[in-house]
Amino acid sequence: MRLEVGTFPVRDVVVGKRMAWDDGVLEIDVNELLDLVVQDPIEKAKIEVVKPGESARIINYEDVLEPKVKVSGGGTVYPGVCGRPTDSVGEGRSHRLGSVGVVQCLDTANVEASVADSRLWGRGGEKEVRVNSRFIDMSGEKTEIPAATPYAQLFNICVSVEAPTSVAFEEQSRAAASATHRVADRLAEIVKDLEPPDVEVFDFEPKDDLPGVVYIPHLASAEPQSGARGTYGTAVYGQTRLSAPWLLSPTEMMDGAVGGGGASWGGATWILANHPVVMNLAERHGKDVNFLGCIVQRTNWTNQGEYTLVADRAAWTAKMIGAKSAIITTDVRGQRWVGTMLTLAACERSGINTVLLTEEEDNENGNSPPLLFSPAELRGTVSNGTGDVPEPFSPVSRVVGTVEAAPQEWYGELPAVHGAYGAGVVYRDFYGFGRQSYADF
Amino acid sequence: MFALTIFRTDPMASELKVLHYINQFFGGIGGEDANDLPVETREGALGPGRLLDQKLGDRGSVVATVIGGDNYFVEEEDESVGKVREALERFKPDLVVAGPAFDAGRYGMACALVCGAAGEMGIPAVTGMVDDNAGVLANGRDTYVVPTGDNPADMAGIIDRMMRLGLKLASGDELNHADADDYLPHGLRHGIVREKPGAERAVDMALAMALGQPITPEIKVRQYDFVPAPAPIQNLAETTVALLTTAGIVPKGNPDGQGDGAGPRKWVSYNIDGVNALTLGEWESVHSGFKGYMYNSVNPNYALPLPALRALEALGVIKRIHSEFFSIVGGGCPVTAAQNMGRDIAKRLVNDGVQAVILEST
Amino acid sequence: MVSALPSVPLSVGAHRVIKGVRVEHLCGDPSLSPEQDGELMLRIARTALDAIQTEVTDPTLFEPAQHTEKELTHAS
Repeated sequence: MRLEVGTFPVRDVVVGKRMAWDDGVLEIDVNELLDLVVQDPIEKAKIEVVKPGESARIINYEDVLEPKVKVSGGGTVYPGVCGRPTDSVGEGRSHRLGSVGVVQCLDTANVEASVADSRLWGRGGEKEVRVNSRFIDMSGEKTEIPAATPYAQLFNICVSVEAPTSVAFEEQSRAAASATHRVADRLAEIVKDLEPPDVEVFDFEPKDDLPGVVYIPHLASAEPQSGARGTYGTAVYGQTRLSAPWLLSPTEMMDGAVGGGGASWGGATWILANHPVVMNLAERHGKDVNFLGCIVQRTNWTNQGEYTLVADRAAWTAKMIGAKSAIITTDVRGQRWVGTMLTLAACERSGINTVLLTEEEDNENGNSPPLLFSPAELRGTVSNGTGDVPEPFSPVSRVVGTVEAAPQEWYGELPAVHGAYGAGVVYRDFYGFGRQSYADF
Repeated sequence: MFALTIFRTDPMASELKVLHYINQFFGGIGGEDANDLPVETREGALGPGRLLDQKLGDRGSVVATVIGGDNYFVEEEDESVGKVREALERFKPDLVVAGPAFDAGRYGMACALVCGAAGEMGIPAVTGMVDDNAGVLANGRDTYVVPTGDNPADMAGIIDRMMRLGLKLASGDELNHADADDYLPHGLRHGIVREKPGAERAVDMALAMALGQPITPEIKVRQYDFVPAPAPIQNLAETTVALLTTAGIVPKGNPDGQGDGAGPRKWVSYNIDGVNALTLGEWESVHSGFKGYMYNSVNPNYALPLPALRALEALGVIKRIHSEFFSIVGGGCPVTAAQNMGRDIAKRLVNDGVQAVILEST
Repeated sequence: MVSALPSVPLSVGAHRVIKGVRVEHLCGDPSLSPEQDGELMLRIARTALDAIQTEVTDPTLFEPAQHTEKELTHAS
């Protein structure tokens, strides 16, 4: 597969009367964008621009999109989500705005949890308030190593939507996501017919004389919570359901075939479309590796038999396409770790070298192993650390992500993040964006 | 006439005084039964210590060597360690180097004890041995051990590595992680910043493995501490069986606030005397990691097979089901918390005369 | 220990592991008739009791499918 990507770098975003990109300056008309957002069932919204280095904090965020558009080659970027066409992507040419994120923020301040919601999650109690504790800090040492947050380097156009209480939670999220996609589409449209200053060509013509490498991400499915046709969480061509592994070309990943955030999953569309493993392998394709593709694996199956089946299928697929090595990642761990380990073991047994790229568990002062458990076949490991951030987050001047004024406590200092699994987290580096890691002492 | 008087000058302040411990074999003392020789101290370097002294060069010298028989040292531990302390007090070294012991278990233990004695006196110490030598863990986390193979032909290289680590320890500089500074890890892991992002390191590693090149994994597999299997039950009909679920089954409404995130993990228990089956609607699952719909709205007994066990109890297959069942929320539970709860519950069960537990986990 | 994901307890050293049905319904199966569901639960319970009477050294998996409940239904 061959994809040309035209990048329009952005070095500043200004709010004005036009929708234009001039030599690195993106001008946006907030009113025009708000008109796109405030559509049934959404009644109230706000759009704000936050810049890298600002003393600002983005809260309530569920997903981050990159403004992108297909210029040729068929399909629509971010296929399948929010009712978008599911036609295959990854060919022809796409244009993107570099260094821009469009942030989906769902402001649930007015929401009282409904009984329907609590049944969705099967938890006790009639009422359950969903709390989104994630945030993005745009300045301070937290944007540097070791708390690498890729979003802090972006000009973030935050679309804050007041959760429409006329619909249930999953629908609220979907409405916010659709609105955010409308904004991202409109922004990308600005540069659709312009000549990009920079065009990269990604051509994955097989290079059989080089070692074949495949990338196998494990993505938790929200099906156990939302059902097979749910719209919440990470999706492949819009499918959130538990499914057999998908073989995708790296160019499909770049065109957003895998995306979707949601408060619990910790990943985001922007990251998946600018995936550090995919981009690194892409850059090296034809030089020292033969990048064969991505095998997208789902987790959250209900028993071991199901996990074993898809693990074997993923290994089989990797073997079929000639993989000599596989890089394996996962997102949410817990019981889903079983799937990751089974895939790894199945690959190794098929003669494929595996590298497990993962965050690790809290060391508990030497009392706890770094991985929940590991098969005998585990050899190559790269650690992204535990997700801990040892220092508190400094107070900020500006908090974005709400429609009315943000609660006072978000302006103040926020505590350091301990790496214990299950702790409320800021950002999980599933895919090795940063240089933070852990080591034995 | 001049009389040449040779002074024993004190070494320069920056020149390190090193005390070396070796066993009788490497010290070239005695034959087979030298294993049983008691600890003695000699000035200067002996055996591989000469190599160490040479490598130190201007940085220091081996001022004394303590030698012991491997058997003697370990069998007469107090006396031997006492002799080591005497030597340390006499020579006041800045650094102690012990071994390397390679794969000799008793030698390894002796080295560990020497390092332990040095540590108690605030003197940095380093040793070397294979990673599964008993001496490695003898002092818990306090000993720095350079990993070696079992081949004495590697002596020169190992002495060099031990010296380097020793110099760093003696300098007071903070040590880097175990791979970087060449010592066996102590089971602790801390955050570091590496040169390249994780994704790039992963691609590098994938390529190296494909080309058959050696790699250094960033996470070494470590097992939990395994316990031996308890002996099987001999007489089931005389056995009281308790039930424990990690699905967080609690009375509806969760009166004890189980799994609410406030405070440390806890276990709760509820009386089931006379209860043949958990009644639908009276119980719920507060587990955070899966959808509790089945347990809450279809059958809570899926979480602990109470009706089945009651039937077996009625038939005399087991003596009885314990009066209380235990409930834990398994989701995201730290290992330490799990261990503590396990110990607590086990103690309680033993006290109550329970011989077996069926633990239902999701 | 009864588990729907036996790899986990087996890997961390649990000695007697009984294979459960699913995470969401560990000791039974709502898609079966109530009678069959009850038999399944009984089978799982029985397997657990068999396991605690079995000598083991290493982590061992016990599968309820291999046990039948014939003896029980005929017990008088």
